[in-house]
Amino acid sequence: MKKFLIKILIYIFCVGLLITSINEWYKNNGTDSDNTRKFQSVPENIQICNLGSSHGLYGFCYEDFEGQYTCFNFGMSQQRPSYDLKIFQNYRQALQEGAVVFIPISHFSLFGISDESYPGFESKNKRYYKILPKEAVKNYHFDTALYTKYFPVLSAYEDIFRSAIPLQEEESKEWSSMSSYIDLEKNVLMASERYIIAGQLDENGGRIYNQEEINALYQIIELCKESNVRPILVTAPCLSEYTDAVRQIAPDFEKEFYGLLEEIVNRTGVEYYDYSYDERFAHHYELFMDGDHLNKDGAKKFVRILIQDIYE
Amino acid sequence: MLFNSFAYIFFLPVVFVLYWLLPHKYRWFLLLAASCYFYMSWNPKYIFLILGVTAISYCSALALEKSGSKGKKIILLFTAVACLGTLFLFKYFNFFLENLCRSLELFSIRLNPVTLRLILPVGISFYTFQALSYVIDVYRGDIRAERHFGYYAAFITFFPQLVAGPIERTSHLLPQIKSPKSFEEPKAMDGLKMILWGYFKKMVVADTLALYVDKIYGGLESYNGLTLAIAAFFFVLQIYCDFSGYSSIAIGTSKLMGIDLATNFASPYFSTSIKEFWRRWHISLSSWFRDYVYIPLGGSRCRTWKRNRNLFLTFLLSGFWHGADWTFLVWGGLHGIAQILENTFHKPIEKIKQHKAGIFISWLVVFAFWNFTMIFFRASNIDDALYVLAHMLDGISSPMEYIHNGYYFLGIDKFQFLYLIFLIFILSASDYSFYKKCSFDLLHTKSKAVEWGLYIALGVIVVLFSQKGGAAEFVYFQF
Repeated sequence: MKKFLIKILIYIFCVGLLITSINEWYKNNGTDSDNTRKFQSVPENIQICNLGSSHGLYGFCYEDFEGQYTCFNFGMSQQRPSYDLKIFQNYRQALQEGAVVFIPISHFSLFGISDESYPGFESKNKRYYKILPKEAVKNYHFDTALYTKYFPVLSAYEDIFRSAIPLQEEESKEWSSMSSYIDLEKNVLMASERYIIAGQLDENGGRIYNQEEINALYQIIELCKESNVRPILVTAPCLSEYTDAVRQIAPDFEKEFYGLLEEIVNRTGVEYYDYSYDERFAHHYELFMDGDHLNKDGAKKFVRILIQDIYE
Repeated sequence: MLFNSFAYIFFLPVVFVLYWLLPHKYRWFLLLAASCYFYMSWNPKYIFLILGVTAISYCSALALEKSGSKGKKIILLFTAVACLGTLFLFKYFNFFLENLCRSLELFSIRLNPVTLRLILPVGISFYTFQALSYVIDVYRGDIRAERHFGYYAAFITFFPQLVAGPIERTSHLLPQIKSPKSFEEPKAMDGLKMILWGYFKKMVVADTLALYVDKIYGGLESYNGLTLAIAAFFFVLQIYCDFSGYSSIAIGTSKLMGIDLATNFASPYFSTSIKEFWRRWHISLSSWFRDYVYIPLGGSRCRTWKRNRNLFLTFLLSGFWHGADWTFLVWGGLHGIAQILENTFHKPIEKIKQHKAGIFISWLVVFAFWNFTMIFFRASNIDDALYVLAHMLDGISSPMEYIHNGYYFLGIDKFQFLYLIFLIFILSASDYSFYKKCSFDLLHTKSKAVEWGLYIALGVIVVLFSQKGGAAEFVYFQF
């Protein structure tokens, strides 16, 4: 029995050693499919940054301003103001006094059911274990922290193979592509339905105003003022096909959306720049990867225009 | 408590160490206590149910030995009603009542059925059959009734096989529980290897495939063509890995305590006939139905039409054992018909199988048939099953588009696809080696370094690639 137990211990030790080694390798070489690796190297004295969901993640590219400004993109796909707030709270020390914080407001940002009620929430929530302290993570569980933060290799699965084989990441390929390559009609209809209908209407067909997200936005603006940084609300550019589809799906939606934004602007005095109908983007497929997401070229152009507009 | 949970990882070593530390005369008590604790971790109330079935069958067996032939029949009938009645109440009552009401509606008689909202006790289909087989064996005079209630209770509740089999025969398991034994390292090592292999099949292969199967079967109307065929194929692999994985863990756990359970799976997917398939798939259940249903009905020692009737009824009941739904009845019925046809055309089939190509064709037919019937097994209802069958060839007239769409709508990228191929390859290779010769024996003949390396690699694969985020239940727990 003693010999048997010793063999088991040796076995467990060997397996543990191998897994720890693979884990260390994966932490440094794993694919960054959840866009969290950038948080390992947040610069100091940031002068311009943005929060936001996929419209923030893909809509802001600061490459043309490297050397001129210290910039950072805090955007992550499907991120709503409640998590924008937590990220800002956690990383605001990296901002220089007088820095500009762009806060992209998408059609789904302030409406609809809570984050936790959306299908796939737990899966998306895992990325925050890596970049936020545990108090800031919604529905924090220690075992999830184990799989995502301390031993990410345990939840990597086939990503281990992707990391081992150096191929161009699918995401960057998409970001470089043009919207004319996709089925634009179907894409914009699906996007607008998703943003305007799914999870945004109650059983009587009324719009659900998400008070948690609205409050989070107010808090971000308040915190920016306390930190002496300049918050600027922004609606990113879209193709005209997309804005047409939104009007088709829900003719009253724009009134509700802009009504809410007007109230926020009036109460806080925050600046708001709306580029959703901007002619410099609305009909330029070469600047978009789909109906409402800029590609890399579009993101660079957008940032140029934004910086020009805010410093005029 | 699931085998693939943290709780079990702590539970098993404690039981293992205590088992070998205790003198033999107290081990039955440890097994019984551990098994009760294991069972109560699901729902504490239902411990009374399993102990009730145990007590009834224990008393009935003792009474059988003291009774005359008329009394024996009454006792047997009473036990069967008690055991099967419990099963009926929890598992089949709602189904029968619902269908009775639907039938009466055809005659314009409307009833308001009473629906029993009872949670199906885990393992009830397995331990009631195990208890019933014990009483029947005593009735037949094949074994003596067990006088020690503790040993008998430990046999019925034995935790490794309690909730999803193998359904053990008294003559095989009870003597092992009763007999003193000393620790055997080779047996314990084999047990650990089986547990590891079971975890690989369940947590890595079955749970990964389940992600796709559940997604597609959960929204069938959104899919067609090759996607449906792939989902059906994935389910065939999923259920095998899930169930045989469980059995491997159960058998391995028992080996740690020096107890051998019956083999429940013997590489069934390499079978070249339906008959062979059922000698390799869920062996403990199929042999139970053979010994306690098919043979008492007359078996094959009667006229052809009666033999066919016996086969059909046995498979129908076997299907129904799996669940109270028409889909399981259809599944069982199809297998009954297949066996009848195979018996009828036995000679030409054997002739075909004399050639290697014929063996391959036979294997292909059997595997395809199993895939076909498992569509009914997995579907929520007959309509869903028919939808899958009706639409799985949509678009096949354009083969390239058919293949592309099948892959695209499954929602996997090339790495996920390669990963799945890799898993299926490991599974097939090991099962094939087991089909020809037991894979664990095969590894044992190689050098220690190779053997250790392979099992360390397997352990790493299980830890890295097992689906996490909550232990996923075993499919056969629902039966």
